[in-house]
Amino acid sequence: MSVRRQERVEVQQGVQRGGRGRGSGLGTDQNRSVSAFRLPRFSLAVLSVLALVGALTLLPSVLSWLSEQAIQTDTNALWAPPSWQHPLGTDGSGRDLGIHLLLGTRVALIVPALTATCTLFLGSALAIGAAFGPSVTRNLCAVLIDALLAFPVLLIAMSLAAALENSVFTVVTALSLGFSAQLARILKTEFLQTLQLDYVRVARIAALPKLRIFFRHILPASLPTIFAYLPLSAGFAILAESSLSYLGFGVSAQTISWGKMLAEMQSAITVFPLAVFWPGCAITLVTFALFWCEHALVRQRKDAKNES
Amino acid sequence: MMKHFRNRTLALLAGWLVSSILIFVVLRILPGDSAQVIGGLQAGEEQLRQLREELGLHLPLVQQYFEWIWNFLRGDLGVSLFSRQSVTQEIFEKGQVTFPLAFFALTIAVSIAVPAGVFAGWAKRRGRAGSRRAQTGARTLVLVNTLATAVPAVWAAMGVTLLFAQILHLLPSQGFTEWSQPGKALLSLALPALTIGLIEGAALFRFVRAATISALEAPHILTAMSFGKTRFQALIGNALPSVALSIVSVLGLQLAALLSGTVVIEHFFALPGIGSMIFSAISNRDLAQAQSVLLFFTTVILLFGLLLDLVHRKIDPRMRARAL
Repeated sequence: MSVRRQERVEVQQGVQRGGRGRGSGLGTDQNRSVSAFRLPRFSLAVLSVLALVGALTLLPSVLSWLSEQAIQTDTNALWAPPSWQHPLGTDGSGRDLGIHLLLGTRVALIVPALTATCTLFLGSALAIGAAFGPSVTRNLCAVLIDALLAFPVLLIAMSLAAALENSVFTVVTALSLGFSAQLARILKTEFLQTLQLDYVRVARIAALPKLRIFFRHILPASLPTIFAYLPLSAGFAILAESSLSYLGFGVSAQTISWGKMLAEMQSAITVFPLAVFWPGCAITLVTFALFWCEHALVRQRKDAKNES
Repeated sequence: MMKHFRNRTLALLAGWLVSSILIFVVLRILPGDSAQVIGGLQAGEEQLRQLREELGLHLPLVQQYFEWIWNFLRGDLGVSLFSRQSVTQEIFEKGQVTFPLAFFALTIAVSIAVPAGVFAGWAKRRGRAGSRRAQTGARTLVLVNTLATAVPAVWAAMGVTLLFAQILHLLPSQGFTEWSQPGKALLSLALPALTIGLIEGAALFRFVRAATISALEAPHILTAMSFGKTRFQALIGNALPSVALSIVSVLGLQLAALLSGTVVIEHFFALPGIGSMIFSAISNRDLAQAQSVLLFFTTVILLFGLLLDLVHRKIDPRMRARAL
């Protein structure tokens, strides 16, 4: 929306920070922060459990066994509290909540992973176009970013889901469109800032090939920003999926996802709050792990900058 | 200033046109025919043709687009296919729910996020002894805030309803009472506003904290302190003004999130607002209504962004200095 204003503010902040020796040896400094970044242990634990369970449920045999279990109803245990037989309890028709939660890990793994990957490529492409392209491309990309930013992500996703069909693919497309505009806005200002730094100017004066300047001198300086945005967009993807599933514009009807469990169990909230507690807890836990990663990445980058 | 204003307006117009084309194209690939939707399954071929002509659907797409844009600019947003009511009228009616809701939510968000964010930014790096407690407080705030941003909107709404409506019986859990009874109307907006306010507040906290940290790093804070101000006095007198400016510049981006948040929350709390209007328009395949309401949202967001930009320029002396 207001790329230009943001740009000015950020450029100016960059100038203020410049006093702390940003111009000198920036390449090595940034590289160090990329190669030596550490993720918080808690996030790593949660995310590896998610990845492990998600990968298991992607196996056809496990999936078919789980799906069979998921439709089995235990008529003796309606709205049953946790027990040895049903560790997380059952829903109103006696289906095991734990099995549903396990099945939901598939979507919780695929949607954020795909969205983050697509956002990475699409956002970088938009930012490169808006920062370095010929003037027509530059303006076109800038206007496209503006337009996408003025169009709330959730509404893009709703319209697309209504236009195409409810599927993981639709959700991922819509979310990555919206998020890549946000990434592109941030990246564009970074690219333009880096372009003004001394070592990039020297490289340009030395008439190095443009692609080489970009890949050797400009892109490495922005990698920390890109990496920090990955967990952020993955986390927002999970949240957006839950909202979309709640509105009925999420993944297809047969697929089980945590967001859909929340939506289906909404009426049960007064009878059996545990039924909405588990899926909500799962979403919050995974999203928190991702956001905490982002927090750690940003902090480490700042520390690295201040040390130099 | 004038040159900047002209450039901004041109950029805004371009962005607006592109989003209008995006909305138009995306909604035109919606499966299902609006004429079929109104006519029902029994409608004959002749009846459908008549309906299409009435709706202008037989015209070429480009002409349809320009007619829609032209009417939009004149304030005629078309007629809803279902309620047969003018969309302009409907937006005006439902805006009486959504805009107060957005306002209250923003108020709640700002009143939570700004004090907490400024404190967390201020307490972050006080290397001196005796400030341990403040540092721990700041760290806890960041942790709690990250946890709060990770909560899905629907779950937050459920939690708030469970606590305030089911257990404490303080507030109504659903529905909206007309403004003719102002007290009741306000009460029915309380829970939705609280939910959106908490979610937006969590997002705003990050910005405020980051802005405070970078404002305190500025050289003029050091100067102020070397003139004998304490760090707290420097924060209040010299850092907060620039924090306020960054908040103004970020609110424009927040509005987009706020308005899309109303779609979910209004649906959850069964409020008759613009958010639920968008929801029902898209799910009913009500093309005329959906495209106009979507464009209306986009227009509001873009105009708000422009307004904030101009305000920012007006009150920020640094911006004026650069323009010279």
